[in-house]
Amino acid sequence: MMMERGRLNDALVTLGALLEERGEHISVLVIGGGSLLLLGVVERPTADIDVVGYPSAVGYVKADVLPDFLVLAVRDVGDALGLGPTWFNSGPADLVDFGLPPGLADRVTVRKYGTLEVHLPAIEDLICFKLYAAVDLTERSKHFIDLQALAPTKEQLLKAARWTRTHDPSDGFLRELQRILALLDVEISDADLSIP
Amino acid sequence: MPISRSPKPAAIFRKQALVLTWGAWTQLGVSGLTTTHSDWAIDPEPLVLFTAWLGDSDPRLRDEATDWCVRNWRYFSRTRLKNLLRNQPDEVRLAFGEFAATVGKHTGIVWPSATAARDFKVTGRSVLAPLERPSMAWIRLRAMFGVSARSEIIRCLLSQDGAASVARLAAVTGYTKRNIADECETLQLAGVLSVRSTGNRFYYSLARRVALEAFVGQLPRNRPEWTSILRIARELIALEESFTQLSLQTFPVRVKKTLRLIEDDLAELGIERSFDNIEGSELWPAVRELGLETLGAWSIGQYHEVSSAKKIRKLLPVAK
Repeated sequence: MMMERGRLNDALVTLGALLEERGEHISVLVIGGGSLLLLGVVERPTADIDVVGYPSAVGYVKADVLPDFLVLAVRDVGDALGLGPTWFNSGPADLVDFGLPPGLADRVTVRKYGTLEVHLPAIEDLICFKLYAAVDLTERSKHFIDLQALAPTKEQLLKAARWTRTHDPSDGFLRELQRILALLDVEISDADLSIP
Repeated sequence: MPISRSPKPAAIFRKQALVLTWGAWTQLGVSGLTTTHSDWAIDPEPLVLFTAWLGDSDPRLRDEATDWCVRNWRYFSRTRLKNLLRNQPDEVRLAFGEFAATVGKHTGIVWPSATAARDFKVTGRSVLAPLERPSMAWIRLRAMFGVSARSEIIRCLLSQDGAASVARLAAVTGYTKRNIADECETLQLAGVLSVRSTGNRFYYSLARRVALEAFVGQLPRNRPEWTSILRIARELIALEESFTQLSLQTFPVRVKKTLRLIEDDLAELGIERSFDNIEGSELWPAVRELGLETLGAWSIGQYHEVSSAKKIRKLLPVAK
């Protein structure tokens, strides 16, 4: 079931209210199409919300799995709203292993839904994630479209490109990265993207 | 779209459940004037559990039912009460505990889960209705064959067309599979049941249905599974009463959970209604409509006709 912004917002409001009713609370870092939709960057409906991390005293920690109480509440809301059981799931949490863009935690937008706190990355950080995914899945993917929708500046793309190289330092990735950047009218040399 | 809170639920389902319960008890002989359920076969164990749960909703109903049980406790199956109780939520077990203790205090019998008796005075107003009444068919069976799994097997097979597996008979009668399997075998040896097997499953049916029905006497047209009916009633009441306690956002979740809890019972009663495409704020109006069509109809003695395929066809008028 695809969710447009209103439906996604209703689902999160319901989930937050249900968690509050059950005496549970949680904060999550969300990336992907869901975060773009919530921030009003894109209008494209999304199939799910990708949770990648939980805030902690030392920054975000990887969200390998969702805690049981959250899985149950997600399932109940999905059942009631016809969204299926996995509309809110743990996404590509490996991103956290390789490191989130520096300073991401200071830039997030926090949305509160009852006792559910959703952390949404800033545009410059979303550009990082979307560039990485677009290189991985080519310009024919939704990620490339999302990247265009984010209307990144050359400086933002350069910064994002450097971050993606920390996740994949291979030459193959570098060539594909340069090709994708070229499609966005950004010509960047190997030296600009060298790994420190 | 917000959930409509109008018209206000106003405990409609509890009132309908009380009317249904009065109708059933009156058929058994509880003091009352209603004849709405004269063409319904009444099953006492699910009824007494439900009545205990209704409790203070209608103290007179509770007391008249207790009065009837004090006088007619020998028609109840303790084993069945115990097994049915296992599948009841805590609030039902708790309420029945007091009811059972009250009956026990005045009879000396020990019903399962009995706790502390409430203040109660036996009036003797409620008596055993004539057993030849169609609605007394299941009590009549017990008078004929004893309060036993055998009576319940026969009751179950008289309630439906065709054969039933041991698992289904156990589920519907409230006896254990082992108990049912043993008694089915005995009834088959006696020529009361016939059996066919598919793989390692045995399906039993009445060997001489016409002759058995003639022997048992007049059966009512409506022979519903009371366990299913009363679980649906209880869940609808609980749902309706949670309406004002939950937020608008979370109420659809509660509605959907209720639907999940009663979907097997609806299927058991042949009520085929899909809620798969109904979601969010549309759920409560749909379930409320379902409640009015089922519990509302049952409360005034209307029961849907169930074909052999167990599909709902239409509501039948009250048999006079």
